[in-house]
Amino acid sequence: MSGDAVPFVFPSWRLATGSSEATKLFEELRKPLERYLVCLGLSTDEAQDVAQDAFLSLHRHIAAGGSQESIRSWLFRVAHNQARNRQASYHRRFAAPLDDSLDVLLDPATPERQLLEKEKSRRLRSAIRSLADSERECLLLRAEGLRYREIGAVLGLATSTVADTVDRAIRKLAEKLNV
Amino acid sequence: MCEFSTKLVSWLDRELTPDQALAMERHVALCQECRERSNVYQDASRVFALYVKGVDIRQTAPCRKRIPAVLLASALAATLIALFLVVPRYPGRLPPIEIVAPRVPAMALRTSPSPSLLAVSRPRSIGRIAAPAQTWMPAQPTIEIAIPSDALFPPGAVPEGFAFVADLSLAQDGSPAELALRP
Repeated sequence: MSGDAVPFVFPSWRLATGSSEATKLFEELRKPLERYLVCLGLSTDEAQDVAQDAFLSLHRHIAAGGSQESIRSWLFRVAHNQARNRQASYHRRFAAPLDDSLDVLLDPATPERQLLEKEKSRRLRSAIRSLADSERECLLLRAEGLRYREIGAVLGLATSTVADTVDRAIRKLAEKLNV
Repeated sequence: MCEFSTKLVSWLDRELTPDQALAMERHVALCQECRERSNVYQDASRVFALYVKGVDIRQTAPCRKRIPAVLLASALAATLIALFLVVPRYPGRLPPIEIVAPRVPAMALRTSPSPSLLAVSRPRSIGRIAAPAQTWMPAQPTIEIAIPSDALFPPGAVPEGFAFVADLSLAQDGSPAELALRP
């Protein structure tokens, strides 16, 4: 299966105002957003649905003349809240995101996967499981390139709290990984 | 623990103000512990990022762990064996069903006259016995009720071997419609 086969099409033909910006954002943020949602515990189909809804909301936001500052954190926050609502309303069984079942999601063809040694991967999963939800979410958003301020906007935390949470999470990971 | 170590991750993430970052750089250049810690944190961050970037969003994530095919095949085989053992096996043809007629005990209610019994000639007694409260009445044969003569007449009143036959016809509602006595 190739990446081009993803059944996700952003309806750029519907865009009137700011279509080029929205399309650029879509191309830039679609994969990170879907990856974040999958890491939260959604299936890829659900992640695509949520991401599409979030991009449509973004389009409406831009078309309505909404603020375009921190648009990345705005998009992630919308998607994050939708994902959490789905998980709460449907009593999802993703008690432990990034658990062993996620191992099958790791693309063996990627060089990143080749870099990860098997033992280190096992220890990493164990370390991720030991993290609190907020720590895990902070690290996931940080891994997608969001700044502390943006992470705080997504999760509704102060920037200083995000800094402390990330610091604590990295310490835990480093201790578990013994790197 | 060095007091600067709490800011190491933020420094690595370039989240400190320029002044704080400058102070941290000077400190790390001098502090062996913070240098080692910063390397450890960088490695942990890199491994985590690689792990997340390795998530393939093209595949459909399983909602639950996949059941190995071997387990499925084993479960199917066990089910078939259990069915083979539990379900009774019949021969090609079922044995014929033997119908046994119920045995009717000897009783005074008969469908044929008996010379050894004395038929009741008293309409009152016959009427009471022959008028049950049931609606079902057989058309043929006519029911004859035989009552021993000793039960109705004093000894010697009726000659030995003499009998009356009462022909009783019943209406649809079970009441006696016609009664005729004959020796």
